[in-house]
Amino acid sequence: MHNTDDQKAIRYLMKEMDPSEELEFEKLMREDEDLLIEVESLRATNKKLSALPDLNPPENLVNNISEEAKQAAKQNAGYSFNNILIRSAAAAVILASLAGGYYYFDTVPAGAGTENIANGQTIEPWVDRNNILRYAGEEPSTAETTVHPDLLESYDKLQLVSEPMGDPNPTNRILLTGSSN
Amino acid sequence: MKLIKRHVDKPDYKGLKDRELVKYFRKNGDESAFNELMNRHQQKIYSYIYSMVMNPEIANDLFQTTFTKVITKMDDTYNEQGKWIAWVMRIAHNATIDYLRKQKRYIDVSGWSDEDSSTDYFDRMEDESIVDADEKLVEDETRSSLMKHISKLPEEQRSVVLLRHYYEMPFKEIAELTGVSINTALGRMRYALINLRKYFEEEREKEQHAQHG
Repeated sequence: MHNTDDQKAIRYLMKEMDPSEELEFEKLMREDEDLLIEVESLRATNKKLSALPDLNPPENLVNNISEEAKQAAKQNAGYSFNNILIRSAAAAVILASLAGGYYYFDTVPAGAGTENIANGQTIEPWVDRNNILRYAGEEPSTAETTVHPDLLESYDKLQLVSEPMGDPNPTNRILLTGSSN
Repeated sequence: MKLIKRHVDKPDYKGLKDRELVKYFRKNGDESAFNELMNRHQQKIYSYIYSMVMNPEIANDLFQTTFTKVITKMDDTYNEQGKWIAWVMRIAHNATIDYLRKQKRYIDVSGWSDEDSSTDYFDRMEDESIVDADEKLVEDETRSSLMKHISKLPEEQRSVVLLRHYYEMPFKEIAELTGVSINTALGRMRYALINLRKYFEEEREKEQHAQHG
């Protein structure tokens, strides 16, 4: 009897074959007497297994486990309740912040962003050319007055270059430079 | 003042599927649902463990260990898509195999001769406990000798036989549970039946000798 036949014998006995396989195996058994004897012998032994007892665990053991399950259920319930409380509190805080924010932006009048400092000077927030919002200590108007004359004077220093040096391609160009050299 | 009694409808646990009972226990903390699950499966699980270890005290310990794990791990490791009982059986099987392997190691290092450990180590264990357990729990003679022969099988063959008997588990599931291929599981079943046949024959021969002698 081949190894595959051994496997088939067990699959046949355990009813793990599909009907066509079963028919084929029964045909094989009719042709091979040894196989038939082997299968019937295994079947007889397998039948004896039906005498295996069904045993119940002791009652006190079952009660202990039930009690354990009860405790776990209580803990679970407590944990869930705490979870619900924490989640509700978090939700309440988020809602309150959202409502407060909405109320603030909706009700604060225009120009309310202007700050009054202690010495009575009023500072308005302004945005510089790099799109940075500026508050105190930087006054764009005064900074501009100091920079502007320098900027104007710098144009006076520009001179026309008449003889370009080392240029292989002699085309007429205007080079502007800030230095007198 | 009239007291209004609040009536809470409890589900008919007996009519519920395992999966629904598990949901009741996990989500509502309903211990009655858990008790119903226990009632349904405790006998098979206990019989499996007992037949594997053949000792009532150890079987009790392993049964308790199994259910403690079931209770504490149900939220973390049980996936509701799978069969609950298959998941519990995996825990019971692993606990039992762990115990048997530890015992085997203990026996090996304590100086027993170990020429054929895979077939005989249960014989070398506390034989008294097997006999005691049989006397207490199995009255029928055939049953008694069957249990004794089962206990002589190597653990991997024994577990296939018992999983098949108590759970009518398909070999595909047995293979998954025990971490082997289907062919290996089928092969183990075959060798288990061949060994049992041999043990029954030896027993019969002994009886015949005793009668003639």
